[in-house]
Amino acid sequence: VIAMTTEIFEDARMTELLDIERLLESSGYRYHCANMHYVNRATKQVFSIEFLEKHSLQEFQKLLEAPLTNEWIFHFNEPPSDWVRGELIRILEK
Amino acid sequence: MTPRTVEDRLREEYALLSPEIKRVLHQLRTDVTYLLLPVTLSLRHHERIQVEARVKECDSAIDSLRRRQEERVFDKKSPSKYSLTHLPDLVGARVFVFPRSLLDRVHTLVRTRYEDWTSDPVESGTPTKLLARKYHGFCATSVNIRAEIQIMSLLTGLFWRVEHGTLYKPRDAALKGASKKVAIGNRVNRVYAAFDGFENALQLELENDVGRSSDLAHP
Repeated sequence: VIAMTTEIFEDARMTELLDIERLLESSGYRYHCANMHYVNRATKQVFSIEFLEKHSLQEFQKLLEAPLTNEWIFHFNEPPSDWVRGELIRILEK
Repeated sequence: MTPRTVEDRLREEYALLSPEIKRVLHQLRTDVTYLLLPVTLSLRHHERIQVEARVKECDSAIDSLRRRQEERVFDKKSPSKYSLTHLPDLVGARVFVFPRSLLDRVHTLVRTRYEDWTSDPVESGTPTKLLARKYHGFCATSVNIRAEIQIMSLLTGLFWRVEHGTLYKPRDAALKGASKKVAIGNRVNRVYAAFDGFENALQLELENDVGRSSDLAHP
C-alpha cells in the first residue's frame, strides 16, 4: 500500500511538473539547454530546473503574476553570488 | 600572468587524484566481477552478464561538476568550493544483464556487498518505470573518490549507448533539448515497451520449453 501511495504521489508530481513547464512556455519562457534554465528575456526572469522541482504550480502562478522590474531576477534555490549573477547576465544579454 | 581559472584548478586536481582513481577503478571492476562469478559461470547459452568499468575523462568530469551547480557557472571568486571528489560517479561500473529475469539475482549479489551505498535508481515515464538500479559510495581503497554501480538490462544498456550520445548529451546543437520534447519522449518510452515485449515473449518460450521437456521426460 505504501509503495502504491508513493507511486501515485510521484505520478501526480510528474504531471504537476509538466503543467509548470507548459505554464512557463505559454508565458514566453524558453529552455536554455546549456544552462538548464527557463529564461524569459522580455521579463528578465530565470528559473532553474532545481527551483522547478522544489515548487508547486500555484507558487509559479503567483511568481509569474508578480509585478515586473527592469532587473534580472534569478529564481534559484540558492541565490547566485554577485559574480555569478553578473556572468549569467553577460551570457543572457550576449 | 594569466590567473588560474576554476577549470585549471580542477584539471590539476584530476592529475593529482589520477593514481587513486585508477586504484578505485581496479577494485570496483574486480570486486563486481568476482561477486558475479557464481552466476556468470552458470549462464545458459543465450544468457549474458557483462561488467564494464570506466573513469570519467577530465573534461567530462569538469562539465559534469558544472552541470551539478544550479547556476551552471563556476564562481571564480570561490574556486575552493569545487572539487571533483564531490562527483558521485568519477569511477563507474555498469552491469548489463540478459535476460531481465536474471536482474534480481545479480542485483542481490552486488547490493549485499555494497549495502551501505546510496541508492539512486534511474526511472522514466508515467507511471514510472525502473530502467536501472544505481548506487554510489566509497570503495575500501579510497575515502576520496566516489564510485557508482549501475545494473540494467542489456537491451536498455545497448540502447543507452545510442540514446545518451544523441539525446542526453548531444554534441550536435540541433539535438540539444530534443530529449525534452514530448514526441521524442514518447518514442523512447515505446522503445522500452518493445524491449519488455520481446523479453516477455522470450520468457514465455523458455517456460513453454520447460513444460515440453518435462512432458517428454514423463509422457
